[in-house]
Amino acid sequence: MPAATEQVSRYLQRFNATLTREEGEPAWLRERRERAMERFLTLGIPTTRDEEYKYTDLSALVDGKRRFDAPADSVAPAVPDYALTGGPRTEAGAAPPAFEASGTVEPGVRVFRLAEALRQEPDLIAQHFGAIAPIEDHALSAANTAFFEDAAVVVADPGVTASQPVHLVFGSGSAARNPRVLVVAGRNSALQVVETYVGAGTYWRNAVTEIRAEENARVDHYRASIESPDAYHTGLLQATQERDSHVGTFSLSFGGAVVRNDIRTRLNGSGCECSLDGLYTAGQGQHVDHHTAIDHAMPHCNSHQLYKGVLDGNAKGVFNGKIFVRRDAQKTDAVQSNKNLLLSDEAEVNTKPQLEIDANDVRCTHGATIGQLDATSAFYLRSRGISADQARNILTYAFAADALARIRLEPLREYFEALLLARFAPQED
Amino acid sequence: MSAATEQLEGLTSQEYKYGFVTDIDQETLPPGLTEDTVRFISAKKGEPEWLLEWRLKAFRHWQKMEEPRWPNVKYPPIDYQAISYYAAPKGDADRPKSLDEVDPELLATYEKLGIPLEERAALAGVAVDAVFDSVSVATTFRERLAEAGVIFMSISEAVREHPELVRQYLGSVVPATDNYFAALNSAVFSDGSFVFIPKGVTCPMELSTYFRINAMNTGQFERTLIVAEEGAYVSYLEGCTAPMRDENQLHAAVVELVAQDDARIKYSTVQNWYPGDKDGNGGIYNFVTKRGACRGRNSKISWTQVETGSAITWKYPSCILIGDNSVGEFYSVAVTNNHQQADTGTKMIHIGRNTSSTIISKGISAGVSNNSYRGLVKILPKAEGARNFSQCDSMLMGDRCGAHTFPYLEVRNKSAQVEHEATTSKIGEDQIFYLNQRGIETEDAVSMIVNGFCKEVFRELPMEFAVEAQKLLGVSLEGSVG
Repeated sequence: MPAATEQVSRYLQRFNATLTREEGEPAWLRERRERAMERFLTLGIPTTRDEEYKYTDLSALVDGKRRFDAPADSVAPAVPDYALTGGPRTEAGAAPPAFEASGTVEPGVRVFRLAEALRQEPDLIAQHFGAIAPIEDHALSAANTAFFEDAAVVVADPGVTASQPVHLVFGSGSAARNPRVLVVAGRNSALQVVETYVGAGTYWRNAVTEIRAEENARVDHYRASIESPDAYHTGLLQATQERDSHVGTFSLSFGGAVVRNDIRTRLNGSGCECSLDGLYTAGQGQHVDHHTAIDHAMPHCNSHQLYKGVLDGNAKGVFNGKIFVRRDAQKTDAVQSNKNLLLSDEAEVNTKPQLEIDANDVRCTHGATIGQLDATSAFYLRSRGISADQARNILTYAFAADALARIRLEPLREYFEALLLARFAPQED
Repeated sequence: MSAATEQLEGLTSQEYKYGFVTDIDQETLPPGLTEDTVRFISAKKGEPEWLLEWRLKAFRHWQKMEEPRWPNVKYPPIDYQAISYYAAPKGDADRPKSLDEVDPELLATYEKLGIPLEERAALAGVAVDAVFDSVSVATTFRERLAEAGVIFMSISEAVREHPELVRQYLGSVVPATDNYFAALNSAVFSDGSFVFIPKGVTCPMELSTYFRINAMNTGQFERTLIVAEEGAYVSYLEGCTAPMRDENQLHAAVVELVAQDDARIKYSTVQNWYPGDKDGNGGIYNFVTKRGACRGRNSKISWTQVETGSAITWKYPSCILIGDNSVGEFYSVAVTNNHQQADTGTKMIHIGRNTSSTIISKGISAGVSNNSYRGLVKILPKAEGARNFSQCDSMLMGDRCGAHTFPYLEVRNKSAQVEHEATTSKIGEDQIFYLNQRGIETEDAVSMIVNGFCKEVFRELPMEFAVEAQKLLGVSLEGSVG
């Protein structure tokens, strides 16, 4: 498709320029990169004519439309300190690193940079790296695969239960524009991973996370995206689950001008469970889009989705949740819910909860609501002497609280509870 | 084995009950579609110049359009040049004035279908404007309706007798260039019904049209236009069966409803066209554009449909809620079996203040069929206080069928309250067991459970139709348990 190629020709120049730099990479990875670039050139930047991007305009990402080259490293955005033990610390005032991750966190749990992982676990990396996230039909995933400079690899050995969460922090420097994470949880292991994205200025971040959960593994993944108000954030989280595994993902989206997150999991074995949850808040000038997809390929699996959104100013919220139940995936139990709260007249929500079911012995439900704060509840609070602003704040917080309650990592939950309360706190004159 | 599986076998082995061809001479245009075809149809109907121009404009636009590919249905490409675009029973010039003059064979067809015109009309007080292929051949109760000031006639007659009304409203809800199939219909529509209820009049009876596709290879392009003036009320019934045949037939109808201040229109459909045989051969392609505009304050449009037929159904009866406090409703039961495919749903566009809409959709899929609900609820920024409730339930019978839900909710006003919920399930073994235990046979139990599943929709149907719909469902389930 020449049109698509034209849109991304400058990306091609950049790709060719980096070819020499990454000569140290093994041949299979080079091939994967080149194939990804080929696909990216063919697919181009998705347009709103594409059903998957109907409500999200990414045309600014087309070559030369907008400059995404803010001097990000010069400004130091605060990296939230969740007080997670074992996570990396960033000194106050220092520019956040591309990402921070290193060595053995505890016995049986290892965090690598890609180069190190390739030396120590070449087979494991060759098997999974770039093999989970699709590149053939996903332009942004292909772009990341073509351009990523480094990757974080988190490995939990079989039978190990990590006592501390692994925390990966990504700043907005050029090396963190295409962040990439691979999480491999071995059989019977349990692992918690937190990804935090912070930044300043105008940039486009295109993140890909791959999660592989082996038999009976449990992975809890949290993605906190506190991007700069001018940033574009696109991302794909793709998980594959073997039998009896459990994957939970929670997406917190607070910043960014345009945020588009794809969160997908494929249930490859029976007895799997997954929960894809999230909370997004957006204000003036923000656009937040979440697309989830759960592929029930095997029988006896359960999935749960709860996404809540709070939209203020002229914010736009988009949600699309897909549940696919394949022909043989009998006894599937899938629940999906998307609830949106509109705080202002200009805010807009487009939601599309979608079911595609080819098996008959299943229980699938989905629901979506869009509404404003309940006037009766507000009146009740007012009648107890609480100001209108405070009442609004309390009710907004209450709306979001049950989504936050699904965060199992307590320090993280507390941090975002506080952030949410502050965000909707009444403005001092 | 589970009841659902047995039922599946029963469903697949069941033959279409209404399959027969009536042998009547037809004046049929040879297959093909050019500007001349459009001119021929227009000339044949003695239409005024403006209508011909309107048709030609639609035709020229249609030529530039592409057939939509987004519906969740699969079918081989349609050769629009292989379809005959006009068929009328012989003797068009001297139409029968009363039932006595109607070809007895034609009347016998209706008998076989269980629609004894005069009897039904007398018993139920229903006026029937029976469309046999493309030209209306019998209209009853014209006088009684005329007394009330209601105009109920074929659209060709209306073009001759009330050109100013037709010109004012035709294409005002579904523009000639609206979509591929609407444009095709606008270019070649052969006939249809026109209803006009003047200000303040409650239509004294339920109006009913029975469509029937009869001639081999003849696409039927109905055009229905219903206008309810201020404070008027009308309930309109549309029901269809078609004879069995092997070649796919295209049906691209357009229905337009206009409701002014305080007007109410209730539009009910029972669609039971030939769905193809159990291997998926033949059957009707039903690509329909139905849309109602609630133009006035407090107006209301209610769509109720029971879709059991057609190889492919592609239809989204919609409401555009322009007037303040206007109400849109959509109640649907869609049953697919064997190789049938349905992609159906509704659009509710909220424009006026305090507008409300309700969507209740029940999909039942069996065999290797695919049943999709696709709906849009759109609340525009000015639609203060808009309210929507949607419920889409699917029931799956057999492990090779599919149920899909594509609800689009677009909200741009914070005062809007929009709720959507959907469930998918199968008939519970425990439910069947419970009924068995009470001495009810499995077959009756399944029928009872399915009827219960669809009850919310059936109770919206006018009485006669509700009976028919339940019978239809019963027929579909007949022999399901061996």
